[in-house]
Amino acid sequence: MPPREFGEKVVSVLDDPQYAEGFAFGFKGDTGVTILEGAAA
Amino acid sequence: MSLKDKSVVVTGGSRGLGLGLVEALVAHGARVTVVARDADALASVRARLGVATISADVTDETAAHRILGEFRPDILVLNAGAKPRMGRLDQLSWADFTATVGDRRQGRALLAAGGAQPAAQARKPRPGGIERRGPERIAALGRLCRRQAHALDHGRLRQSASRSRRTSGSASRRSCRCRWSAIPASATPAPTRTRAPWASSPKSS
Repeated sequence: MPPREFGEKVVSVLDDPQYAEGFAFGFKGDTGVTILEGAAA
Repeated sequence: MSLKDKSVVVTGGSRGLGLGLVEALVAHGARVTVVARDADALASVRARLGVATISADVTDETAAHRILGEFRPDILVLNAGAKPRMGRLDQLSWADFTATVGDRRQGRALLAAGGAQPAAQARKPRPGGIERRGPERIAALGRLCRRQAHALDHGRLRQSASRSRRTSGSASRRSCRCRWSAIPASATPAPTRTRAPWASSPKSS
């Protein structure tokens, strides 16, 4: 995944209401998005 | 959560994935501050994207405190990382082995610093009754494992709790559903060797 595309992916998570209650997120290529703390809506 | 006019600090944002993320954040209207070691690369990013830049090593705790205190980010992106040196084991130094460990400690330093800063704005109290301090959100790119992130955050919670004269240990545990220790590394006592009760007593000579 190109860097800019990856950046858009991170931004989409930060902007997504589904993740509004999340506080800390982990992003990895093999596991995808992990909510490290906080709850998904 | 709209990113428009949100203050975002991105570590390691001068190249690679970090730079791609900075470009995306700028395109969505965020106020981005890029932290990296390479001053030349930072100057290039600043000229091209109009972001604020800080040339610093994020493993330096003093720099981490200064950065978070000065910019009060709404979002903190922990992207900076060190590439471990590869090679035969007998040809690697201790510094080679510990480079990536030190890299992970950067996040600990930054998050601990966030806990030490006064709240930028009123936030919703946590389940344990502890008001969050520091950035609203943290995005860790790859380098921090789940266990570390928990430990880091609990260290910060303990710090906030003790500052507000709450019983820090119980408060941290109340807000935590994980099974890992809630003790920050700085408060972890040195390991002590104790004899297991089932072990035989040493022979006296």
